[in-house]
Amino acid sequence: MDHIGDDHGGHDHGDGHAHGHGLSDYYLEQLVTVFVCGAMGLTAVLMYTFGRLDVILIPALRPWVLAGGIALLVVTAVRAVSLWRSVSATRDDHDHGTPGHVHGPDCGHDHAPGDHAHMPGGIYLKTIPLMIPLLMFVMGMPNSSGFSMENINSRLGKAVALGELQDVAAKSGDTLTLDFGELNMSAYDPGKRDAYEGRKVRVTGQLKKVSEKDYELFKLKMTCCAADMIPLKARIKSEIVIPQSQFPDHQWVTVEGQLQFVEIPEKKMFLPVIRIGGKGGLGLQKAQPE
Amino acid sequence: MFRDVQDFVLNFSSILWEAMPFIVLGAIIAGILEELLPQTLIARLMPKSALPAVMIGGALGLIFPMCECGIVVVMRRLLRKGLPLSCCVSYMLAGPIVNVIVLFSTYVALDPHYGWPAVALRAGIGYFIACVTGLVVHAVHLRVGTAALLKEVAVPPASAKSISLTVIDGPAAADEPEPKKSVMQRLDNISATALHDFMDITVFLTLGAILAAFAKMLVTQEDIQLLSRDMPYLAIPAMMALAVVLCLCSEADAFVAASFTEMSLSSKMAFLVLGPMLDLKLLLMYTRVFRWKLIATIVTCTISLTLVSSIVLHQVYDPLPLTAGGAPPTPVLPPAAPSPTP
Repeated sequence: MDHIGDDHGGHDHGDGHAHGHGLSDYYLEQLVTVFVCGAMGLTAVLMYTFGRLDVILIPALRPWVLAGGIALLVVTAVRAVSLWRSVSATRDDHDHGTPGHVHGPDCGHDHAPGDHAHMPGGIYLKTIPLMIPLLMFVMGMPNSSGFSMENINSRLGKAVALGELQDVAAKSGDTLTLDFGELNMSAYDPGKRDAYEGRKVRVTGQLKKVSEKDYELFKLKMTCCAADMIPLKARIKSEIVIPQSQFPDHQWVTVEGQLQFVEIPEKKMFLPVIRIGGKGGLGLQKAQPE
Repeated sequence: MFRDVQDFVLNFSSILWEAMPFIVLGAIIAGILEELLPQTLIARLMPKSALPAVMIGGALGLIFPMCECGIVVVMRRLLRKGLPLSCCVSYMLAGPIVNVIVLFSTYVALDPHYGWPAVALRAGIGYFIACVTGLVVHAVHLRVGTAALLKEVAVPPASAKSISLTVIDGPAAADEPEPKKSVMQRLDNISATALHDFMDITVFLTLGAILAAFAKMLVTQEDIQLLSRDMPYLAIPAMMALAVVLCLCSEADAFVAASFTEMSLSSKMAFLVLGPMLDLKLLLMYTRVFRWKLIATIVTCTISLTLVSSIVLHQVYDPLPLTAGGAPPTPVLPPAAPSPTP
């Protein structure tokens, strides 16, 4: 950690000569450190409090940021109190004509030479990048708007060609309400494919147009943070034209229709396809974002 | 332009804030280690020869799980306390992979078609690369010495004599009477070290997150997938490059790997093994502990060993019969929370 040992040692404190630049630089650097770390901790707490983490982290990780912010504030407070006390002690020492010492060799622990923060401007240069997240928070970023449509479209990639679909026999039973993840997982499970194929299902996701009667249904899934977001995908095939004015790209919808699984050889996978637009109507309803 | 800024902010913020609590935790642990851990204890406990020390280091993640961001902060202080450099490197590289939470999330992401074999491959290759790199670092260390490899902040104080595997024999440091300190003085020292380390490492985490966010705007998964389609030997380096650019947490990367449905297992393994060892933010964070000579050694070893082991894997092991439905699933199960330190 930073200390004032080396250059301080060269001063003569016995003749009433004021402490040199080494001591004032040291305190200034420590104050900057306390300020920046405290601000970072406070920002973490506020990010959690104002829900700014909701769009970038999964729920399980958000309390960790809060805890990290609080821990940082506590450590900063301890350091601030300690600095305050050492300033008083130094002043007293100075008044009595004895060498003041702050966190130096007599602390009884080792000081790494690389910790020595007397490189000109070093601490201030470090402050610049650390101000970026704080400034972003003040400017209201990140906000709830999420990734741009272009970014999401690039993550989705090109829709695979399905070709002509073969009809599957309808199965009786109540409409199954499937979570998007469950729908996606069932495509990889032969048993579930057999069980679900032909059933009427209800799934909520977002739309992306492929053609007038052919839409992708997707949901973005975050594992830890927004940087690892991946799209889970299914397909909607309609008997009738889907009005895009009513259902634009990225609109959240609940789809109700007959499920089948279509093999995509080049992707080595089965894709869930929901067929809609038969006698029961379009089978699409606008939904709240999930 | 506005859309680009919006995407950049999301990527940057998510990488930074996900890592932040673990940097805080690492910094506090670093402060406690610096203040309370006796200077020669680690050196006395560690085996004296290189191979067992490196092998123990590579497996420490099973007992002390830490994510790759937090580990760098702690390593710096452990090195100062006499942890052998080769052991530190093997723990730092293998720790984020050979880790119960990471291995479980790998299983969840790659199950059912790869399942436990994929988990074993990830752990085995990661451990192997970490140990070999640790041994290479040991050899380099013996040749060029500590000062050429470590930043001053990570070099043990003179009383510890050496951080090499030549365990400190001299009783001087251990036998020096510890000066009495008040609780307040100890807290002050811990807080000073913790804040210093937090600030020092977070600067480079921030810069790394900026670089990663820019890179993510330029490279998409679709690009990599298109580039590598039908060219498995190009897919391996492409996925390695993607791992370096994306800066993903090791608890989450298996889910992203699984989303590359057209990729071979070998290229996914290249992604999963290299990412926790080397990415843009880690590279910048390494500069706060290691000198460029050591960083170059680590980078060269991890990249070349990942490439070779993935190519060998591609040649000898293809568990995926290309039958209908035989692709790895896009994951749907909730992830394990990233691992804190114990």
